Amino acid sequence: MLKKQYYSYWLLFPGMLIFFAFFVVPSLMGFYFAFTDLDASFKVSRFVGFDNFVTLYENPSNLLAFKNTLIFAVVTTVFKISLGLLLAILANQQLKSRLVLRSVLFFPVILSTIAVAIAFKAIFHPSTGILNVFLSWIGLDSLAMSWLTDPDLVMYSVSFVEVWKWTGFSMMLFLAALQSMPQEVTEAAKIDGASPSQHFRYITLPMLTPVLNTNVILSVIGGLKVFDLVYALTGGGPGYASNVINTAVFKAFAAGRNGEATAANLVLFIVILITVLCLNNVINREAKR
Amino acid sequence: MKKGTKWLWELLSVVCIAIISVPLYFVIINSFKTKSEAADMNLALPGKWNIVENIKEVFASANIPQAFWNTTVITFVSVLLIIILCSISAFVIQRRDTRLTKIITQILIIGLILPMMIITTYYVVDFFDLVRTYSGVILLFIAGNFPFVTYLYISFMHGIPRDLDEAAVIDGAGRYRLFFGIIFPLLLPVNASVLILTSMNIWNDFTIPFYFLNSADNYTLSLLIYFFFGQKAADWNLVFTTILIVSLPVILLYLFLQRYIVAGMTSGAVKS
Repeated sequence: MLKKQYYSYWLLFPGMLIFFAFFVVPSLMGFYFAFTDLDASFKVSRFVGFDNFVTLYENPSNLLAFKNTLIFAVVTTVFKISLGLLLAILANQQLKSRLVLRSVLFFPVILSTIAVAIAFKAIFHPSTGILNVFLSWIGLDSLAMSWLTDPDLVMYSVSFVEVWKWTGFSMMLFLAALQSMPQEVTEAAKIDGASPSQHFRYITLPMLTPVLNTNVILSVIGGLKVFDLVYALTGGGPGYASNVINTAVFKAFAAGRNGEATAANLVLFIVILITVLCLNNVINREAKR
Repeated sequence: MKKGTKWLWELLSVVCIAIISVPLYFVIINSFKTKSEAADMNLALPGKWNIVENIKEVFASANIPQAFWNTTVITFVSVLLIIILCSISAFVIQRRDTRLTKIITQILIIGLILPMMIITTYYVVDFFDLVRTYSGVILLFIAGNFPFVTYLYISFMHGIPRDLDEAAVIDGAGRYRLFFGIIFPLLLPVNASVLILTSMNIWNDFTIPFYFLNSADNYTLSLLIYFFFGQKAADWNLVFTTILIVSLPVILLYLFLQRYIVAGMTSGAVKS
C-alpha cells in the first residue's frame, strides 16, 4: 500500500473548490433564499416563510407549468424509449439501409437545440410550414393544425421536436446493448425452438433491462429540466400554454422576483429528487425479482 | 427472414430516414434561396441560387466570427480544465478509501442528478463579479460537469491496478509524475469520451450563456442564432443561412469522426 502522500487531498482541492463554490453552495443557498423576498439586485429585506410558494401556487400559469413539465417528461420518455428500441432492432437487422439509418438518426443529437427549435418553428408554420402543406397534399387537410399556437396542442408539438432530436441517442444506447449480446444465447434459443416474439420477450428484453433503466432515468431527468427547447420554440406561449418550470423560473428572474424564481427552482429540485428516488425504487424492486 | 417482411423493414427504415432528413434538407435548401422564395418555405430547388449574398448579408448583420471565437475559447478552456481537474480528483477519490472520499462520492452522485439552482448560482457568480465574463461561464461549466465526469473517471480507474502506482513510486516517481506520467496516459479512452461529450454539450449549450453572458460582444453561437432569429424572423433565408454556418463545424466533425462521436456520447451515458 502506498503512502497517502501520493494521493494527497491537495490534488483534489481545485476541482472540489469550483464544484462546491458554483454548484453545492448555490444549491444549499436555494433552500434559504426560496423563503425570502430576494429582489432584482439580490437584496433580502425579510424572511417571508412559504409566501413565495403560495404566490406560485395561486398563479394558474405556474400550475400549468408544473403540469406541462410532467407531460413533457412522460411523453418524450415514452416515445424516445419505444421508438429508440424499435429502431435499434431495425438497425440491427441485415438491411441495406441500416448504416444510413444509424448515421442519419444520430445526426440531430449533435445539433444545437436552438438551431433545431428555429427550424421547427418554420416547419410547424400554420399556413406555409411543410408539415401542414404535406398533410393537405396527401389529402389529410383535417389534420393540418396550428401546431405551436393551439394551447391544447403546443406541448405535444414541443415534445415531438424533443423526440425527433433525441430518439437517435436512445437508439444507439439500445443498439450497443443488442450488439454486445452473446451469439450463443441467440442460437441456443433458436435450437430450442423459440419463436421470434418469445425470443424478444424472454431473452432480448431481460438483457436490455440495464440499458433501459439508464435510458429512462436520463430521459426523465432531461425532460424535467427542459428549458432551451421550449424557450426557443414557443417562449412558453401562446399565453402561458407551454410554460414549463424552467421557463417560469426565467420569467420570475427576468421580472426581478428572485425569491419567487428560487422557490420555483426549488420545486423543480424536489420534483426531480422525488422522481429519481421513485424510479430507483422501482428498478431495485424489479432487480430483486 | 422472408423476402416480403424484409422489404417491409427496409421501407420502414427509409421512412425513418426521411423523417429525420427532410427537416435538415429543408433548412439547407432554403438557406440557398432569396428572401421571397424562402418565405414560401417549400422543398423546391431555389429558382435563384442566392447563398453567397445570404452569407455576405449574415456576416454584415451578425458578428459571426466573434461568436465563433467566444464559443471556441469557452469550450476549449472548459473542456481542458474539466479533463485535468476531474481526472486528478477521481484519482485521489478512487485510490483513497477514507470517510471523506466516501462522503464526496455521495455528494457527486447527488450532483449527478439534481438540476442547477440558477438564481442562487447567479447570486454567487455576481458576488465574485464574474457575470458576463468568460471565466464565470467556464467555472459554471466545470462545476456543472464535475460530478458526471469525475464519476466516469472513477469507474474507469477501478480497472487500473494499484501495483502500477507502487512500481512507479519504487522507480522514483513523485506524486505529479505518478499521475501525469503514468496514470493519465492510461486514461486515453475515457479522455476521448469526455472530450467529445463535454465539448458537444458546451458548444451547443444555451442556458448558461443565456443567463450569464447576455451581451452582444459575448454571444456564443447558440445565443447568436436565437437573437438573430429575434431580429430577422421575416428573413427566413438569412435565418437558415445562419443556422447552416453555425452548425457547419459540428456537421463536418460528425461526417469525419462519426464513429468516435457516437461511441463517446453513448459510452459515457451507459457507464454512469
